[in-house]
Amino acid sequence: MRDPELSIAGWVLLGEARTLRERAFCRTVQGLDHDSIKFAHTPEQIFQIHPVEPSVNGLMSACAANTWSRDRLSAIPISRLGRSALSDPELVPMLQDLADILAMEANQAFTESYYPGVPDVQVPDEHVEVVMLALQREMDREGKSGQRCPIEFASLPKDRQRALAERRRWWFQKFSITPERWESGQWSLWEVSGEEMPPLGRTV
Amino acid sequence: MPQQITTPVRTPVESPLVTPDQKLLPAEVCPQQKREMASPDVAP
Repeated sequence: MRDPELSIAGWVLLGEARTLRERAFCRTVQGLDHDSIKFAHTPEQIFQIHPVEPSVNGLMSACAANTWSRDRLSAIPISRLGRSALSDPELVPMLQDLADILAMEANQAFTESYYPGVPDVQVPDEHVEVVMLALQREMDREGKSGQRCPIEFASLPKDRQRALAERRRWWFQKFSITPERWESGQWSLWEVSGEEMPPLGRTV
Repeated sequence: MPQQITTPVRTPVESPLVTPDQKLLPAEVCPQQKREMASPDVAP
């Protein structure tokens, strides 16, 4: 079933996309016309493109060749306000894969027998705590609306809490969002990793 | 008169609706809630 946030054009393209960058690109596509493209974050602008190959990569290359579309795809908002006064800010739908991956990571922190951190990623103790509180915030809200008690991140062993915070930072980086870039509020499609989407998070 | 047999009753420690194996897990929430759970207001 199509994600309601995804355009039909983006949905069709997503069927072919394999890498994190290709998939993120497909999620930015608001519409395709005869020789132009529109993006979800700048729907009022139309960009003329001249793709050479009939593929997601061909389309991305054509967008990179157009200075204006290239610039728009290098500065996409990270988040948007919640839909109601009670909601928290959320990632933009174009980062749905990141959201799916992070939810899967949070799940695995509870369910996997081995859940290591990332050696190259350093996260201060206080930040681990902040991340756990933020994760719990949304789980608690969801728990209130249903009949099931949410899992408690505070019940995770400390080393797993740390591993989860490190892996969260690591995945944000895969989508070009380092702590420094996060402060700008924008991410760049061109800096998203060319790695394949992990199978567990592949939801269209 | 036969002796009356009483079945021992164990008081549940948790509501039958909420047992540990039924707790809501992060991967079970909907796509929009996953985007919220990613907590973009908190630095990576």
